[in-house]
Amino acid sequence: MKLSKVFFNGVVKENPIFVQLIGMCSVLAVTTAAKNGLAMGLAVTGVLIGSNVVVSLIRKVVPNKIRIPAFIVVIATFVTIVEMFMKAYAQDLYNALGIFIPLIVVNCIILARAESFASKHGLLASAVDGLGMGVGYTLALLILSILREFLGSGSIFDIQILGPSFEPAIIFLMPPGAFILLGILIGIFNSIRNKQASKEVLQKEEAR
Amino acid sequence: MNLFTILISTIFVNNYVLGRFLGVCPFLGVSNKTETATGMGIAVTFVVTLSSIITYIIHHTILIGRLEYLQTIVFILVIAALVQFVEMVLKKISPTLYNALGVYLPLITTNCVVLGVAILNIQAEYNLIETIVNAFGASVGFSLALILIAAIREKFEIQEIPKALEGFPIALITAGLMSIAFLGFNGLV
Amino acid sequence: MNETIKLALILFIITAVAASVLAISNSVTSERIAEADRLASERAKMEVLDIAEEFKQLDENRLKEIVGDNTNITEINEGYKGSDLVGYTFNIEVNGYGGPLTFMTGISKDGKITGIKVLVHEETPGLGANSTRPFFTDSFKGKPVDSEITAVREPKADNEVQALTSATVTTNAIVDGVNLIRQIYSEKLSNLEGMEVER
Repeated sequence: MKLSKVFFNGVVKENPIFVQLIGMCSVLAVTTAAKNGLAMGLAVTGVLIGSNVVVSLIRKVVPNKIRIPAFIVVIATFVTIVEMFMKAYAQDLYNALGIFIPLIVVNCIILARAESFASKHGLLASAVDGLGMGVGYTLALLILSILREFLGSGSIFDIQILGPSFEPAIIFLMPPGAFILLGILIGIFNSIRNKQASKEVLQKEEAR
Repeated sequence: MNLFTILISTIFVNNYVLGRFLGVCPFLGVSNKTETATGMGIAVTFVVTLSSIITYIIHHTILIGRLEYLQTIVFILVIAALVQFVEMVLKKISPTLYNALGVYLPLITTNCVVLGVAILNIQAEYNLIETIVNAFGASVGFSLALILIAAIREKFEIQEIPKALEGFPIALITAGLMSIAFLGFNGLV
Repeated sequence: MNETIKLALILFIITAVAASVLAISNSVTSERIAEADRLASERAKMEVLDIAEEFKQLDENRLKEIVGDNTNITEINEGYKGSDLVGYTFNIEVNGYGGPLTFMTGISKDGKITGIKVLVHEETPGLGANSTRPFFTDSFKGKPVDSEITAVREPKADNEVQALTSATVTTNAIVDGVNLIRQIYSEKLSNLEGMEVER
């Protein structure tokens, strides 16, 4: 399998948020500011790569029956390491993301990749898969958080874009705005994919 | 804090799903029918309350002081083991209950409400009674949101919905509107 | 060998390896975390009482004696410049809109509020969470401690501070907290010049 294909599979074709629709909790919770969205994305990417690599390494040693608890231990270890280093070197970010850092453990994306990809593939492919999925996840977080910060506080990455005459739509910073905005984004993504799919069908028919 | 305040606050004001975004995956995943939503809700309530008690005891007897950095890994293992155990016990004791709830149990391990409540109990420095009340309230709040949205989504089957919004997108938008309704409880406590 | 025992053994080994990895990374980071915590609290104190160079936390008995029934004041620090006592910082927990809110207030020896800083909060982003922003916190700076502070839309008088738009609960919680601290300072701490010098 080509590595570039594995990578883009995670970023676009099987984007964890827009296509697979998993790992929603943190996506909705931490995206009130672009900075937080990016930090969460990077933390998840780090855990994904780490756990994919280790799971791929131990996949032949671990008996099938206990693979899930074994994977969970591996994931929890990486999450705790990320948590410790964030606490030590980026305390403000750690405080902003709060409980959603330890909750990366139960983020379905990570266990899903360990189970469906890393436990069946080699080291390099698993690492690339982790990176691709992580980038796809980060991208989705960035899009949502930039939109929410822009609409809700008129700034992007804490840089004020709109002047004081702009009345911020605070609803976008609150839970309802997060749900509705993500719903609309997935809707847009779906309609683009539908159009592309029907185009491909059309092209195939013409080719005949 | 007053026990009643904790209960009202976790069920309505800071509803775990609609206000804190914990447990959104099962909230969207198993909310197609009210029947399954109710089953999931009961299973979650049971596991969350039980796991909160166990993690509380473990934290205060073993982890506190030197080993707090093992919290995440120990809690998730306890929850995973507990879910397995509950599944086994149910199978032996009450096959009817197992048939009704069994399919939801494996899904609960990765439900972030369970781990989230366990960690938040420790963070808020609740005592054992407050922990139980908080866990119970959180899971009742989760079940309430789950059953409500399932009841709404059942109606979608006979409605015409734009094709791109079918399924998850419309469910998310519905959740947003429900969340606005729940904002009305703000300031209650 | 019994199958179950074998499985348990393998799982045990994995968990043991994981725990030792965590123990190592904990020993690497724990000092740094403690240091970061200390720096953060030091920085907060510097921010609310910028005339002081060094801080000394009052012990529990002294704290109890000063705050009495107002146990929501959780910490008091004395600020020193050289050997002179120049002011105090107070940590207080109040009930905000989204839950408990902890903030710090500095009061200088000449009876002025020198600053406030919100430390922990669960307020709504864009509304109550604006209490962490300078336009709100800076409006407390330089207010005299002998008059009751009120929050208004456009502060003019000497005892008026900036109110947060659409976040009355947060504003009132913080203003009431500052007023309580003001009162306690005036009653218990403002006349202790003689006693403090002895230390």
